[in-house]
Amino acid sequence: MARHRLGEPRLAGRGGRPAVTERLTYSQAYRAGLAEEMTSNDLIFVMGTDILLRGGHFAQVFGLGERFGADRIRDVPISEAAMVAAGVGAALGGMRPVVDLNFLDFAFGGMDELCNQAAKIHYMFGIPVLFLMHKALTGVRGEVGGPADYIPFGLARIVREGGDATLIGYGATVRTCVAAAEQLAAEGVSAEVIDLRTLYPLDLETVTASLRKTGRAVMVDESPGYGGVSAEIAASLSEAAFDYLDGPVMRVHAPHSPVPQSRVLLEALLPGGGQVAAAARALIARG
Amino acid sequence: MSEAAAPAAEQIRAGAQSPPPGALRDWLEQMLVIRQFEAESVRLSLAGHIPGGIHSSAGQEGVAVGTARALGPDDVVSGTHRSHHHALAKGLTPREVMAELFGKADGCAGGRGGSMHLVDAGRHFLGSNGIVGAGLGLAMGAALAMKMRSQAAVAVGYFGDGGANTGRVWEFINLAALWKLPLIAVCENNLYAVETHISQAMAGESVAARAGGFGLPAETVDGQDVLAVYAAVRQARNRALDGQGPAFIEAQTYRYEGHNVGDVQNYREKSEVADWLESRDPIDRLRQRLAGQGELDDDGFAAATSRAADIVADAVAFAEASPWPDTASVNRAWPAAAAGRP
Repeated sequence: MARHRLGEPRLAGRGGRPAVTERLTYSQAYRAGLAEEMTSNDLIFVMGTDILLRGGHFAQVFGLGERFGADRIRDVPISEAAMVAAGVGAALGGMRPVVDLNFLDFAFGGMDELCNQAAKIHYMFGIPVLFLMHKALTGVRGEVGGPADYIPFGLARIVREGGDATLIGYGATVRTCVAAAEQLAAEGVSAEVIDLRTLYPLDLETVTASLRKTGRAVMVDESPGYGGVSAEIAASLSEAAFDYLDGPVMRVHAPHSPVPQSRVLLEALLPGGGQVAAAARALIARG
Repeated sequence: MSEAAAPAAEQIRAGAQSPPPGALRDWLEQMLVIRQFEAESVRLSLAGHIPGGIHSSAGQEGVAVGTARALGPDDVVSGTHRSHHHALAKGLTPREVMAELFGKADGCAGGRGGSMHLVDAGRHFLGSNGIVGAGLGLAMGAALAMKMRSQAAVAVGYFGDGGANTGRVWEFINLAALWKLPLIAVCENNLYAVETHISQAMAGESVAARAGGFGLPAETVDGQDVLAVYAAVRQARNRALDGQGPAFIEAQTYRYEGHNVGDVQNYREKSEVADWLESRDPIDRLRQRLAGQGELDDDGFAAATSRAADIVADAVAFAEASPWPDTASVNRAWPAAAAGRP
């Protein structure tokens, strides 16, 4: 999980380990990072539905209401338009609001405020930022750094080194890539796994450097492929790293469909480690 | 209005302050500048100098000037798509607004925003806005920051009769009322949303009547009387600074031009336009008031009109001479971002 501050990063960034390690779930890490920043910066406050007592729908701010009070962990009525507009306007007024939409599905209720207002305000004044936490990761544990550790935007992370193929993921698909890399390792294939961390700005430099080594790219995305992140990255890599590629940028992504409820359908829809490994094998088979 | 809202309206009447002596002549000149600026911008738009559409505010000067003059130096204003008068009244210069309309580098937004993104951080103008009703949300957020930072300031959010039918406007009002934010919501009801008259678009008796349901004081004001607008905003401002929360003002006004340049206006009678111009013109009414007080004679008005014309001509010359923005900078954040927050 990344926290961001403008300025000098303390971590090495690409594959560097944090100075102090602790194992927290994503949700705990988010909470801890947010609490640290809220302690040192009075201008930060959170707006969202059901965050004061409940702590949000994924416990993402559980306990912070008690700690920081109702002004700074601020419940809002159900209006994404109002909460995003309040956030943009308050940021313009010098505060540092965090607008917690809880579910990305609800973002569409504030789409004008995000796309027409916030995006243009960003162009004019350099604020704000959209941060997405994958709901399936909230309970997943990993190492986190300490209060002085910051990761800048636009810096990918090399999760696992390898020389035969580059597996690229972000959010939940990083684990999918790691699972695929482990399958491939058992077959004597060494795969490098890259976590993009930020989609914009995108760290093409790290990915290109990896492709110089491996010549084979597999991009893994839970979204449908059409016009999505994987399409963008495949196009960008074809422009930036064509000479290093021994085959096309393979994409493993969801089909063009809403997400079904039934567990078997969901598993069939989401990219799995097996599919990613198969894509890597297909590239290797080309020679 | 509901019983609870009626006494509240009376309360905000009390405590009105008069404008400082001599101020009204200044207001009249400002309104003359706006009127002439709009006439020129329409002419220049038809002549092809202004890319995209513009939406003339001629006829609505009283609302913008009455409101702006009731505000303090740290107060914030957000506008609509029809906001040249809001911007000029807030203190943006005719030069930088005209240059912005032309898309030139010396425009207030570096030529990037145009008519519907007139922004000025230093003068606390959050911007004109192409999305109906959206500006009110930004003002509401700015009011939230003011409250959280304990600043003695208020935010004004404009919208129109069209905006009053969007859900978002009432979502913003609800939140402002709930959190008692120092927001003044000003609805410029000019009877038409593009070509649709309020009788065809709006259910209910008035826009102000809707606001009363949220428990905030709401009143209807003659938008063509600059002093009435001033008084209403002044009182709302005092209320907000006193921590009593937001207020809602519906200003009844009229636009002499069509929705946008080129609008053939087949949805309204020329006689209606003429009637508003002849009997309810804000500039004319202020002029008559000043004349009646012996503060302005015909020569004085002619001189003021001439000065306004000079100011606008200067603005046009400035815009024409201003350079085009550097195309290499098209993808970079607008340089004024470095100047900080509004």
